[in-house]
Amino acid sequence: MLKFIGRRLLVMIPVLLGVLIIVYALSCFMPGDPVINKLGTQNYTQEQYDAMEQQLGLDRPFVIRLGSYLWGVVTRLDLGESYATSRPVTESLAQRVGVSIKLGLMSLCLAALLGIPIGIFSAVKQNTIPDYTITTLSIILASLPGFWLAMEAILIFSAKLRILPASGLTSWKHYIMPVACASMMTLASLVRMTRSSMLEVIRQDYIRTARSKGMKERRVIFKHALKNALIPVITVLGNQVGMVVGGSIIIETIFNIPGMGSLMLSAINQRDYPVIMGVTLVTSVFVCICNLVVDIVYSLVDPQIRSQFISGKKRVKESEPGKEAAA
Amino acid sequence: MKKYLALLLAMAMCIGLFAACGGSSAPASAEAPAAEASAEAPAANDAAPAAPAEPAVEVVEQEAPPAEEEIAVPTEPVTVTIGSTYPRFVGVFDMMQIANDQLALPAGYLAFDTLIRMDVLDDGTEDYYSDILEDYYVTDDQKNLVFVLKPGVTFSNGEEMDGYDIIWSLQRKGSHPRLMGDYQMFDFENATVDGYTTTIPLNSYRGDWRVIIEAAVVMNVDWINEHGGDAFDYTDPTLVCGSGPYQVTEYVADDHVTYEKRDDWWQKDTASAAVAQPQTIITKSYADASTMLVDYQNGVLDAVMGISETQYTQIQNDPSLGTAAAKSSKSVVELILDVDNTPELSDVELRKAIAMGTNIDDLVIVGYGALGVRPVGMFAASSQFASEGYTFDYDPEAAAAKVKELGYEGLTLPFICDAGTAPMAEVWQEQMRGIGINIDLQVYDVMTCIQYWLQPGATAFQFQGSDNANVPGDPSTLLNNMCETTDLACMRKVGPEWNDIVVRARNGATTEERREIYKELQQYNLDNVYCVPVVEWLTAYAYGADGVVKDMIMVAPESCNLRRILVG
Repeated sequence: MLKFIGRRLLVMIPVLLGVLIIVYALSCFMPGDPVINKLGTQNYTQEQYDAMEQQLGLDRPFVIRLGSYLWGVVTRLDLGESYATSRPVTESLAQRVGVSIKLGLMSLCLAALLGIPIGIFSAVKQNTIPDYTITTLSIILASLPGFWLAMEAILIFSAKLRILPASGLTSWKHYIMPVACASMMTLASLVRMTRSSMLEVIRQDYIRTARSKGMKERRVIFKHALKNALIPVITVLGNQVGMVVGGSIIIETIFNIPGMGSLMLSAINQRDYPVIMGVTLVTSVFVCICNLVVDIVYSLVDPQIRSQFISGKKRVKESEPGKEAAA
Repeated sequence: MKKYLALLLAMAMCIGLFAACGGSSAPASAEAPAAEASAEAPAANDAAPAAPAEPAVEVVEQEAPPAEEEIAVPTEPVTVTIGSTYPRFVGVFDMMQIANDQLALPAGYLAFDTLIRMDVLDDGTEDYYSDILEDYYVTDDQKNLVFVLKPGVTFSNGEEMDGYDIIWSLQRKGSHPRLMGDYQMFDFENATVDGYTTTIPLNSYRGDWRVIIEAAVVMNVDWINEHGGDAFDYTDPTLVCGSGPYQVTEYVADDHVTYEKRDDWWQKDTASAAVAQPQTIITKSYADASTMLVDYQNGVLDAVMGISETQYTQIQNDPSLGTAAAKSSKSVVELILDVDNTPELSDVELRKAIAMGTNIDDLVIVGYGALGVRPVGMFAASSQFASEGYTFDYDPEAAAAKVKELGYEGLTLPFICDAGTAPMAEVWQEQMRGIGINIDLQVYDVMTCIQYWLQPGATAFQFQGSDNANVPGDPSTLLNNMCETTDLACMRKVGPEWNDIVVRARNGATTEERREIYKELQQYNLDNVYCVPVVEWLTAYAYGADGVVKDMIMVAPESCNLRRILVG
């Protein structure tokens, strides 16, 4: 297992380098000049322009700038200084990343805590009124745009009923609406994913065998079916966990939460390349780590995958879920 | 059957959800108030230190503000929380940034004093005034700028302000990339301090010197040297040491700042008794105006600034929401014609046809609604340099006939504009189609637009604000860009006549002289159609829903003086 983790960590290096190079190149070739942004469009001489260009390091060739940036990141964790505020990017990120992670993880927990049981319930009660209701609602939730949901929630619970605050994150009440709105899309997809995955698993022979042996339905569902049905759900959740660090631009903007999403938005608007790069890097690292964690969780859920990690051999044939249970 | 029942149930839930949401009272989204590429620093004004500005600021209010004598000074400490959609309303403690950025001024002015600033005086007029200076003037030979400090002005650490603080602060403001050019007129190296008098020699004299130093806040140079000197962290709120009446006591990055009134403020005994200053002021920034308005409705905020036109109207129509007011931004959106890089537009008759075919009234409504007014000329009506009668007459039939006669019917011209002015651009596109000219409209974000505007010939037109919240009311953005030296190719105007008039107006002229020269400039524009004044826009604010704030006296919300909030 350790070998597997080590190998995955090594693979992360070229992935992150690739991400950095692509994003750096894209942001450098975006229309918009940080020097003009800093100087304005009037009242400066060519000398002042050149001096500012030099100060921002934009007078050097692209490759040199990229190399210098990568060297700073790798050797000193130096993400540079914001063009807009002249503050170190790491400082800005440190101030905001906690907010986004807290908000994101809470919404994911809510989505998982509600979505998986509801999905299981819906699968177990297939083709009943509760199943239809859940399926319909989950489709509606998945279709609703996040900004609409957030604005309607503010309108109902803050403006009309006045029971929840509309902005900020200072008390537990402040978390309710942003967390609920941020979790809705994930909740809907988890419900649908869990339901379809469970339906697939509970039709398997080994489940029938377990039932025929007289095993209690609860045990069949939770011990044998759920474990195998959870693998695609874990994939969805893992990807979502990785993205929480990037924050939600919509939720953070509407609920006035100073997180990574709103930082990224203002950085893009101001062509603040160091901040754009910083947010992207942090998000990429987190996504890579979460993917690794997801793979490890796979091994905990599925012994067959675990055995592959331990042996280091590639999978030669499709797994046969529930083999263990059937035995 | 079960399926149908489930579908019916789901539909009923959806209808219930929509019904609960309602429709009529939905707050509108924030609207971009400005047509400007960026909020630039003011760059020009007059040379007459004693000349009072005209009290021409435009105020649109739901009800008259209470008279000062009606407002009792509160006996209990009052906390006022103010929300704003201005991005730099909180979190800017860098003096250089504050001094250069009108949007950062309101919060900065709580903790710092400015050398001079344009504000509303006790008699209701607007003029330059200073909290900390007894006198300031340029010597008769126009060689020196002299500041005379009031005795006893102290910083929050107890140190007395002196001339070295003034010199250092001006130097720091002048080191801002956007201001370097203007500040070359000062010879800081040879500045002298004699008691309370500070003398700064002038390398050159410019009539607009008061605009150049306007809103420069004074910092404590000894304090800065004690806390790192060149490495001083201007962004650290705990290091704020100003001579203003408030001290930063809490700072939550990008969310809010709490200011507490200083008991040891140097001016406390001389402050007007009629001005009931709050004990605590909290400034809070919002990315979304709708959320801010809900907080205002719920009593979280006592006042809001930078509200949208829809919200302004909503508050005006609902007395329970307090008072909605609007002030002129002192800026006029102009439709600039790229005369020099668009061959067809070198024909002055075509330009006249375009001006005649532009229906300003429609553009005012589409662009700004209740927060827009028909301009009187190139400069805002409330500007001290405004003169009436310098707009173009609307005559679409004559315009269409002229286009046809000149042989330009079916001509297509490019127009690159930013998203904030896109609604106006779309309506104008239709107006031009009506006179036979096709406009190839492309909409981008401001930063992308600037890249196009810098390229000669990329766009034939541009919407540009004359300035944004420039308190002295000088159209600096417009004239700095509509000249020979600008980088914005689409606005550049070559030719001696226009540039000569601009230079004469900016250098060495008194307010009255400049007003006359600006008349000449506007007449030149009427004859040659370099730009078409389209709309003067207002910025809106609201207060008093919960009864805490009774009035807010200000020149403009973007640069307002939060010390002058009246609380009951």
